[in-house]
Amino acid sequence: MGGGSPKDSPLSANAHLPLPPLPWSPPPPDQLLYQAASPDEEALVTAARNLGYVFLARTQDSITVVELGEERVYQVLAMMDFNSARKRMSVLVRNPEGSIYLYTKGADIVLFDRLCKKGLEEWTTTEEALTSFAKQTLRTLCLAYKKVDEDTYVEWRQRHQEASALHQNRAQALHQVYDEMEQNLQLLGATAIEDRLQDGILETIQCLKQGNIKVWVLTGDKPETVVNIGFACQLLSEDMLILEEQEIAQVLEAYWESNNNLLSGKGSLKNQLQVKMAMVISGEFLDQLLLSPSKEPRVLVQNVNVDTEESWQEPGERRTDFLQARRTSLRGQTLRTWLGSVGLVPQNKESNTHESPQVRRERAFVELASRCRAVICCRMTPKQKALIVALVKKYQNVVTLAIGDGANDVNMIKTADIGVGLAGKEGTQAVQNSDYMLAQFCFLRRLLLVHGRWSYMRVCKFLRYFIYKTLASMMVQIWFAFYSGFTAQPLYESWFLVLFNLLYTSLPVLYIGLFEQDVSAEQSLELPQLYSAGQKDELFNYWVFLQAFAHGTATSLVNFFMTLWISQGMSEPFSDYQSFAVVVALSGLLSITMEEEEKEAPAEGIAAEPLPYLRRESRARRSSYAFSHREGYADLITQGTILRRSPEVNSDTLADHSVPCDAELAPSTKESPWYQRSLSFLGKKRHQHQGKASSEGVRPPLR
Amino acid sequence: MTWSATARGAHQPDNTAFTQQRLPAWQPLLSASITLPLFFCAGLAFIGLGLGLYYSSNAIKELEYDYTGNPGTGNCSRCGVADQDRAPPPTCLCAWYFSLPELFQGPVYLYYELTNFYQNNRRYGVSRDDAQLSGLPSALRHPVNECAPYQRSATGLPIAPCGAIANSLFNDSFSLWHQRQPGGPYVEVPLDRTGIAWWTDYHIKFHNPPLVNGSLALAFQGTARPPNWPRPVYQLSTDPNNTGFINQDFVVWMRTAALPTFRKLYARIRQGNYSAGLPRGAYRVNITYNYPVRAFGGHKRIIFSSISWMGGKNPFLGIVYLVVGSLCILTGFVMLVVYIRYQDQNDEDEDQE
Repeated sequence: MGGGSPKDSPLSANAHLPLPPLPWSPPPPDQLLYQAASPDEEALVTAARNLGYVFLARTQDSITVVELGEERVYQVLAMMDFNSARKRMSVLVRNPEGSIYLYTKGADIVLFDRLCKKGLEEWTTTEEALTSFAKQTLRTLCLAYKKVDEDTYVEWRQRHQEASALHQNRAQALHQVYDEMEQNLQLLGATAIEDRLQDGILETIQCLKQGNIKVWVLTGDKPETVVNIGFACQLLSEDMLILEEQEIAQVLEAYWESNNNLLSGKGSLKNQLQVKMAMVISGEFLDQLLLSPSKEPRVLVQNVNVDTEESWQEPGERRTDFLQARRTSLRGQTLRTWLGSVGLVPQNKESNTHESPQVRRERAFVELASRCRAVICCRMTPKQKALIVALVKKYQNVVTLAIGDGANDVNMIKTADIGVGLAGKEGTQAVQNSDYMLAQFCFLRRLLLVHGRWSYMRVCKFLRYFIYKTLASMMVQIWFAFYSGFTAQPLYESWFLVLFNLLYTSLPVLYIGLFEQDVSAEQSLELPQLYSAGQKDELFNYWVFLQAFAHGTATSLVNFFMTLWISQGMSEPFSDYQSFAVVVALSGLLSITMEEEEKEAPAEGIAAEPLPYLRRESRARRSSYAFSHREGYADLITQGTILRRSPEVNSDTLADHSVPCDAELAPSTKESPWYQRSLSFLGKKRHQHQGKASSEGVRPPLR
Repeated sequence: MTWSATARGAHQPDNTAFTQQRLPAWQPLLSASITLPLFFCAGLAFIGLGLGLYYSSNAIKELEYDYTGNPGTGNCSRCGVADQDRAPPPTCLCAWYFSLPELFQGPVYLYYELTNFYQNNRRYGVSRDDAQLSGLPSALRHPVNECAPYQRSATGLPIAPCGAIANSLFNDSFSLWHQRQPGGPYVEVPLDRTGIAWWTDYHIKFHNPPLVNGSLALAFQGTARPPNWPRPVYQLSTDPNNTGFINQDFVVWMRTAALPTFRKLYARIRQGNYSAGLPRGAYRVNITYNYPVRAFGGHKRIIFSSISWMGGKNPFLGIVYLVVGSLCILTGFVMLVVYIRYQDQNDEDEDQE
């Protein structure tokens, strides 16, 4: 999974922020455990360790590495930090021999632009490797280096310091300085990191999405982690427009304006949106958005706009970064459309005038979010998770399902219409507060698509059949009243009336309610589209009720009048009351029972008909940097504040870092949410997988 | 793992087809090759059945006469116009003359029909005491309250048989006379008045109370006759097997009709020269006109009918079978056309896939 020369190792050790083992608990050197903000970084450093390049220690301006048994200390001259626009980061070090090297890692497309001519020849093979990695859904990074001579460095340092000291546009100036240094690189290689999710998560999510279930991820994790996971489980895809905070604010602003001015334009959001959207929103922003009426959204948007302008304007950015370019243009176009036109049209105009701003804000947010293919809410407190579920329940006419495994999911699980707890490492609070308990996330698929669907179908058929059979048998009494002078004479004998529901027709009804399977379990799983019948109330609604009503009435009419006309003018065999009653009852009973048998059949047609199965094959290559951290942590490192802290504080920090890894991800979805706890195990699994090739076969610990 | 659900499988349901939803099931896969023959077969079977029913119904002869006695409808009108409100009405005799040009194929049944008579009226229908009719001495003395107001007579004696149904017993009587040669004497045709009730009714449901000193009259001592009856129940017939509660006319009447228009069997003609049916010739039916129906707008009819395996004459069932059978075949043809027409298209679709 790693490629390139041994020079690779100081680079990966330097580049981000993996911390060496803590001094008070020295583990044996071959079992170094790293803690990193990003699981990717952790994996890279661990992999380097396993290959013999052990990252041992670092101070504010030095890095100690054991390279194949030989301890070397590098001096850190500068760190050129990561941000989402640059998609790369570099470190400038002086090695023990005194020469200066620049090591860069970043997204393949970004690095490609900066390679020297010679490096381009190696590029083709690397690209092949990258493509094959991407096909295996591995996340890739490219690594490059160059040797910097002393003079260049001195001259560059000068400008770097000037740029750092600027009061205005410092970030832009710094980026320019960095960009000058990161040119003419030599390719070192590429890395690929695998995300391993719990078994069946991908299939489950695909299935649920095909079943028209919206999946929202609510998690306490950091945005970048969740976005990575979102890509890994195909919640997010490359062709989606991912709305982040500023876009959300803009769209909602447009909505806000349209409401305030009561402009009810024609184009609704639905028509304008040909683009698939996804939304990533953090807990703090959500609070800003929904809970502070004093804060004008307009101000918010203006601030954000400045930022975006800045990051979009970076020179050189647009040349080849097709992905970014496309996203930018998409974003620009779409937003312009929204802003230019009226944007979201409130669904019920008359009610808007009476709604408080708070309600309008909430409604707008939920409406926007529910138009997204995927919604990811990160950095959520348990209360916020519950709030999101409550919001969806309040403004959308949907059934919500929350699934989670941790104690911080309990609020959410209890708020949702259906709560599902996963039994796992996190204790039993979630399970104890849930309606259903599952052992693994992937069983959710069976719960919803097989048992949920069957159950819905059975209840509906049961109801329909019950209405039918009651009407078909008992309406006869009404028809008979016309011939008995409306004297309330029952047509059926009392024994028949007593035993009809109790005995004569109880088994068919029970059978439908308990065992009916219109489609086998396997077929249900293969065709998740069948699930959407329940979402549209297709199997039981007023129309179906009327049908059952009409059907039952028709049956009773036929039963009664056929018997009547046949018996008319005949003395034998059944002109007398008792015989007539028995004949009508028997014929009603038979037709009801036959009806039940008939009802079994039609579903086969649905099952036999293969529905178009959409599989998205195109999975563009992606680099972990393409959607990684918004900003790097170089500032923290170079300031040295972390390193200077007392051990106690330090341990807290580390604890904080590890918590998000384990924090649950709990999506709630529109139609029925679901979740995957397993995502939280990612860090650990990746760890394992990275370590050795042999770990490929190792089962994750939590099965 | 702290999940404490004890041992593995402790709460697992048994792995049986029943608990694991794996019961075998059969779902017919309806394809054209199954459905079309099914439709044609059902259609043909229905048509065959319909034809059979229709022709046997048509083969049944019926001869009926309305002797209600509305003015100008025959010689029963003088009885009909007589005072109908008195109970019992004055006995009135009238006759119905008819002639048969050919043999009326037997066995011939004689029915009477009443119209607009709601034997299915609730209060009327419950006004009987089955315990009394089954011969229980205690019930004989204490009729159930449903019989009211025909529970007890004005003097306080229990009425036997009690209730409105029994009180309204049809009491017209008929006798059939045959004139073999024109101008010749009328010979009485023997009417078989036994065996007209249901076997279960006659043998199980209806019993006379135990005889006292060998006398049915003594057994009924202390009871009153129903107010409309001219004589008590033990004098309904001279035949000891056909009197009291087991009088066949009475048993037939007590089996109430489902509809306001109904026929009840009066007699069968199957004895002597008439076992093969009624030979051609002139006939006279002597009617003892007792039963008032004009007060409630009803009609009385007398009907001679032959009978077949399907019962009485009613072409309706046969016609229904014919219609349904034809519809089946028609639908079958339509589906066949559709099938042939779109079959190729389907194949093409499949090929494309």
